[in-house]
Formats: sequence, structure tokens, C-alpha cells
Amino acid sequence: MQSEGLESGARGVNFRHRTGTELNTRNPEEREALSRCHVSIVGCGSFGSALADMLVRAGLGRITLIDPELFAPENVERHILTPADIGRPKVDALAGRLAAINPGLQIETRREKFRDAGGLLLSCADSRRCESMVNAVALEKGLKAVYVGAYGAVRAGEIQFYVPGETACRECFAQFRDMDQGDTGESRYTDPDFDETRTPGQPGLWGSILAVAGIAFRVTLALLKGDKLDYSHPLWIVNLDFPGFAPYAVTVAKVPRGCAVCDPSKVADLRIEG
Amino acid sequence: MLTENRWEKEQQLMQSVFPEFTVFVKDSRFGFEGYLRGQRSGRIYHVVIEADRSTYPQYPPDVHMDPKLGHHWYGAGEQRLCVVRDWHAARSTFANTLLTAIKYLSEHDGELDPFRSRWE
Repeated sequence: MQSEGLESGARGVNFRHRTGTELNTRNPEEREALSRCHVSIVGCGSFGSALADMLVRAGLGRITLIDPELFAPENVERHILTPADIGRPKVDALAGRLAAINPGLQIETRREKFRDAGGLLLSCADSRRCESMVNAVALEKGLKAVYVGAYGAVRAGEIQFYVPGETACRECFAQFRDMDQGDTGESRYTDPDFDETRTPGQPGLWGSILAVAGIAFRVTLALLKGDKLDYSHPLWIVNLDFPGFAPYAVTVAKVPRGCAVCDPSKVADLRIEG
Repeated sequence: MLTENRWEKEQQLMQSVFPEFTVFVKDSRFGFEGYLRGQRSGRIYHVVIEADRSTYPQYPPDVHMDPKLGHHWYGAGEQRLCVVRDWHAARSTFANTLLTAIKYLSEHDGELDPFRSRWE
């Protein structure tokens, strides 16, 4: 897709407006590095759309958008899309916005549940089962991954990164969490594809989403550029206003490596529970 | 995504606790099947627990029973039991799932079916 009034410059990295002004010149180092990178965004809701926007503005060269849903009225408050996009597939509407930001961007859209993808996997889904599938693909293909989510009306955010052979996987951490998210709606008994691990809709402000997404963006950028991160502490908790904890603090947490999903030797430890 | 050693371990666990359940593999679907007796009714239930190679253990196995009891079933065609199962890919197993099915059966076996007439 090519946006009106923009011309691709050398290597598709910079663009010139029709007035002759050169665009995208303030962060040449990041732009150069990201122009060769591919990110697959799993879940194009609040976090997915915010991170896609940030990455594309920073110069990302290739993006895959995966989400089965349509843009709904309740999404408007926390999304880069607008009421004009209501009823459209999220992936298509978002692709249009991203192409307008960077006409040289390679975009692939998949209006489906996640099964497979390439590049760095950026999991922004509100389903723990979907996260589990992202984790399985990252392990199988040896791909880096970042998991982004929020709790309690976005009072706190959670970011976990995965680097093959270096860090704990998502299941190493998530195996202790409640999987059933307590959605007691009728669809539990009527929807053949009901996903009890999906977080029911909750309040939360767009500014809070952007605060967490901004930190997730820095983690993703570091992984794409190959910058060194502390691999023993791949879990970042971002506290915005959770009572009893320091506000606006980021806590970096250790996650021990090795579970029955990522470490074949741990399969022998599986026991019958219950 | 199912790995060979995970499948071996699953079979080992099932064999140790539910040796009467047998393994089956059909295309990408695989699992165990066997029979359970309802303690109150004495009725025999055919129980199948199956999953897909491409999504196991990320997705929990499906549980089918014949005849069905209770009302916690969903899906088109071959309906699946939809009681809450706290499934963790790194901890849960087919044997755990069969325990859930046994618990469900013990709770619902012998219940009057509200959709049938009491004089039927």
C-alpha cells in the first residue's frame, strides 16, 4: 500500500512528503535496524494496536497482524482505530493505518485464531490459551517472543520476554496461574469455541495501556536489535496505581528456567494431580 | 504441539492408574478410551478423551461420554464435556482429565433427567 503524498526513499527506510520535506529522520539507528525486522502481532486489540503503531513509526520493515475479531464499539476507547472502523476486521483496519504511516511497510493480515507465524512473536492476546500456543510456536521454531498484558483495570501491566535457549518460557511462569478467568456468561455453554482462559472485558484507560505498551516497546526493540537484556529476569511488572505498591515502578523478576513444555527432561516429573 | 516423550509419559501415567483404558490414534487425533460404571445407577458409560497433535498440550483434551449425563455439553456433532478444567500445559495430563470426568460422573450419575417425564 502506498499513501498519498509520500514517496519511498533509499532502501524504503525514509520517505519524502510531497512538499519535499524528508520524513522519519530523527532515529536513524533504530530505523536502520528495524527496517530488516519482522514482527508478528498476535491480538490486535489495545496493546496490539499500540505496539504496532510504535514499531511501524520506529521503522519496522515487515509486520504480520493476526486476530479473528471485528472492531467493536467497546474497543474505541482503547485503540488506535476510530468509530469509522467499527464492524471492520481489526487486522484490515489496522493494516490501513500502518500503511499510511509507512508506505514501504510489508504487511500480512490473518483474520483467524493464532496457529503459526514467523519473526518476533508479540503476544497481545487476552487469552492464556492463545499465549500458550504462541509459546509452543516460539519453542518449536526457535523464535523470540514478548508477552504483554494488564491486570485490574490496567492498574498493573505484565511483560515477559523469551529468548530461545536463554530464558524461561511462558509456561515456566504461567503454569501457576488460574487459567479459568471466570467468565460466567451464557456463551460458556453455547459457544463451541468458548475459551474460558480469556479475560472478560474490564475497564482501563488508554493512557494506562500506552504506559505499559511503551515499556513493552523498549523490550521488543532491545530484542530486535540484539541488545543485551538480563535473561534470568525476563518478567517485568509495571505498577501504575496498584494499592500497596510503589506507583509507576517497574519490578524486574526472576523466572527459573525449565518446565514440562520447554525442557524434555522435566516431562518425567509430570504427576497426576487431584 | 505433542512431543514423543510427552506422549510416552502420558501413556505411562494412564497405564499406572487406569490400565483398562486403551490408546487410540486416528489421523491427528489421539487419546484414550474405556468404560466407567456409574455407582448410583450401575450404568456403563463409554468415555473417550482425545486431543489434537497440533494443539496438545496447549489445549486441553476433549471429553466425550456415551450415554451423556447432566447438561454440561457443548459443540456440534460429537459434543464435549464443558465443565471447568484448570488446564496448564506444563502440569496437566490426560489422567488428570479422566479424573475430572470421573468426578463429573459421580456427581451426575443417577440424577433425574428434568427434560424427561417422571412417568416415562
